[in-house]
Amino acid sequence: MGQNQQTKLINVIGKAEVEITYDAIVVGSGISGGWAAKELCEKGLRTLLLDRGRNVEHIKDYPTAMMNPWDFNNRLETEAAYRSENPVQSSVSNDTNKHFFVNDKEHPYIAQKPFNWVRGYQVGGRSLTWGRQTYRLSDLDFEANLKDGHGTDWPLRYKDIAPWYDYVESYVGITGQAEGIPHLPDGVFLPPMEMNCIEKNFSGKIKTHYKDRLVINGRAANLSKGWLGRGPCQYRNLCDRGCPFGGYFSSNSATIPSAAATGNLSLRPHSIVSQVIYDEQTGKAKGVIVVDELTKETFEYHAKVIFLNASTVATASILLQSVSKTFPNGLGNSSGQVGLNLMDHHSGAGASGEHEQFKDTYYSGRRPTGIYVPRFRNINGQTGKQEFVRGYAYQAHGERREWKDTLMITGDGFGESYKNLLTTPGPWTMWMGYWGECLPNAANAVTLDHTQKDNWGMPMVKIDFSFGKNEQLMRQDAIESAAEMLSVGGFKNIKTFDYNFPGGTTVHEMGTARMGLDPKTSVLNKFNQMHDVKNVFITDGSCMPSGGCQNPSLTYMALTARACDYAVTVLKNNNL
Amino acid sequence: MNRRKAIFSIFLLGGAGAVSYSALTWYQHAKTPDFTFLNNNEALIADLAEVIIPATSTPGAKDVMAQKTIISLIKQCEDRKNQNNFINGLRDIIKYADKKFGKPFTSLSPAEQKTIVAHFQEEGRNFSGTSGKIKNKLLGKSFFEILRYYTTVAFCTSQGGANNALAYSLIPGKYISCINLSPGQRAWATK
Ligand SMILES: Cc1cc2nc3c(=O)[nH]c(=O)nc-3n(C[C@H](O)[C@H](O)[C@H](O)COP(=O)(O)OP(=O)(O)OC[C@H]3O[C@@H](n4cnc5c(N)ncnc54)[C@H](O)[C@@H]3O)c2cc1C
Ligand code: SF4
Repeated sequence: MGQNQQTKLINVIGKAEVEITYDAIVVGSGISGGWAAKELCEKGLRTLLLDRGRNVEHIKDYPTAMMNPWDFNNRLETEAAYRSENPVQSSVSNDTNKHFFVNDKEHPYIAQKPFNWVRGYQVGGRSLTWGRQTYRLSDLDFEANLKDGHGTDWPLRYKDIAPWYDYVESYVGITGQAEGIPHLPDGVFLPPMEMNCIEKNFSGKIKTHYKDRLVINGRAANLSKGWLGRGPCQYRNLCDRGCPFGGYFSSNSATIPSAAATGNLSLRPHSIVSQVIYDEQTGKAKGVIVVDELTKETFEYHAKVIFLNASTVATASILLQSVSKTFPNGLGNSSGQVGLNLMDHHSGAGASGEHEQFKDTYYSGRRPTGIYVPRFRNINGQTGKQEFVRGYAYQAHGERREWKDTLMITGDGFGESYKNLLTTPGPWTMWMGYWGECLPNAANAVTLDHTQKDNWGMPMVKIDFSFGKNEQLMRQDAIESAAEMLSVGGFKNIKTFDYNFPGGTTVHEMGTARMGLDPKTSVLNKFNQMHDVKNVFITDGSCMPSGGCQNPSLTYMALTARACDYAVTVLKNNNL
Repeated sequence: MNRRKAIFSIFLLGGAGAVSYSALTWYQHAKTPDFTFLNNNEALIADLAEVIIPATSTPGAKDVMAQKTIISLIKQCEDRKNQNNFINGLRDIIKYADKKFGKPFTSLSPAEQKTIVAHFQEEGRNFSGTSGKIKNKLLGKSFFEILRYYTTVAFCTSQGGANNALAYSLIPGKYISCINLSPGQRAWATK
């Protein structure tokens, strides 16, 4: 699809000439919203895609993508003023991609305990900057709540979602290797991005030593071969600046162009959805209220079906703001569960070590993913742990120490010998960090503070979140096990680390409008449809009754495609 | 979250701890940094940087104009405390060169310059010392640490440094997971 066509579609959405009625409205154009727009458009629905941020066009709006380190004034260092103005976003953003993150000053929220709410308010959302790690959940995850009693049961099982994982993976393009691990199901994979020498060696050592652990190739939404007109990846590892080769999956490179190609898409940037309008007569949602980000004018748009994909915290806040006679506590909130059970994975702890061998080997090119150690705790009777329930996985990568790490690690030294150290490949090192499951807990909640308003007159979002005892015990085990595995791998000088990141820093917020079987204890049914308001679907992270320990976005995509299929079927049968 | 970010942030963490912190030290750290002095000492900074990363068969700090980058990065990216530490350090260098050799640093032989930088490396060690992480938080980084950090960054991210002293490719195009190290193979400039 040509640039012009897309631009034209976007420009259609001005103020006066605008149609106000569509078949479908999708709120948010990030990973899940992009999928909703693509699916609904391809199924013939005239769809309005709303996003609160500016438009970001694929390639054209990636200003830093082709810059060399010396092209940046700050040489990849972060400006002091940026850090102090953006204490939250700067925890994950940097000088090369900060234009894809919000400004903390312009977008304040109340964190009752430290919580990093990391956001990208633009068309494409955080699909531009995500880490692209993509792992399926399994029945170990879908049955977890039922088995150990934390949270409420998932209303679906792996067999219900498996075909939808296949479906989205076949479009996204995921590099990976089939392993036959029951609790980390194989997907539809493009060729794996190979392990380097140290990783292969480590993988072999772990396999021989442990019965319960494997080191596998990272699975990532990076194109190890050309796919549906995108990619292939050029091995730059600069993905979070936007990829001029379309080498990784984003809404901007993939789903939005596919949606636009149908001719059914209207995209309206700068559109902050403040509320879903509830129609007391029909018992359905009529449309949404939009506040223009730039002019602050208010508009209404109507549709037969509405998908909320503003991301977990924002979606909860839209629901809570949508009060009506029937729903005085927020749309579809008869259960009182909207905003509760916020989860994030915990990470930022593990171990690293050095290896003395393989000094005559190296690599060439920059692989944009690493290696992975699937969960090995509490899988079955033998792997059961007394101290905690559920489990964690590791992301890891091996490399030869390069100048920046040498600089930081040595601390001392200058002159010719120091220069030599910087400019020759250092020892092989391995870094292992864990990603752990977080239990659903009603005390971790998103609410609104009506006494404080943001720049657009909306009540301030209040987040009350902390990790619990189970997470802490798991973290301890993950740190110790990482060190032990490195030692088994023959690494020396092993150091553990624990940054003690606050919630939100892993940027996997989930759970504030959970799916469930019982309308009394959940917000959505098994098709992500609101129990209370049948023409509203929510398919971002807020739908998750539990989070597993896998990076979650692939699951949002599969659930979105599945929900769209269902929504269009019932719509066509006049059942919405 | 980003895997690589996490590796670096370990070094930025410090423990909290009681360190005596006089009003005078506070004043020295909080005062508006004298950027005019910083700008006026470009030649001195160039010589200091060259001591850290000298030209050999490949370019050195001066060849890539590291001094300009160092000045700019210290102004843009450093905390006020470390800006002052660096500026005070430059003053100390000037004084020490005069005391030790009776000449300005920039007129000294490479060997003499090395002696001076080695002295400040030693002082820096005492400055951050064993309880370095704790002190770093209150007092900031030592002059030597700041000099070494920004010289290295300026050099390794420069066009000359990345391409001629290290190995660099904007678009590798391919990934080869295991290659034999050829003699003289340089380290990659980016990862
Ligand atoms: C650095 C980083 C690394 C990550 N790594 C991974 C990874 O490896 N694997 C993984 O699975 N996940 C990863 N994630 C998380 C991933 O980005 C999110 O899970 C995913 O983007 C969520 O998709 P979403 O559609 O719910 O929301 P988003 O992608 O955040 O999109 C939400 C969109 O909604 C818009 N919006 C918000 N409020 C409103 C409103 N009121 N009205 C209109 N529009 C609104 C926003 O502007 C935004 O465009 C990472 C995230 C970051 C930042
Ligand atoms: S690593 Fe691949 S996907 Fe990422 S920016 Fe580079 S070419 Fe694009």
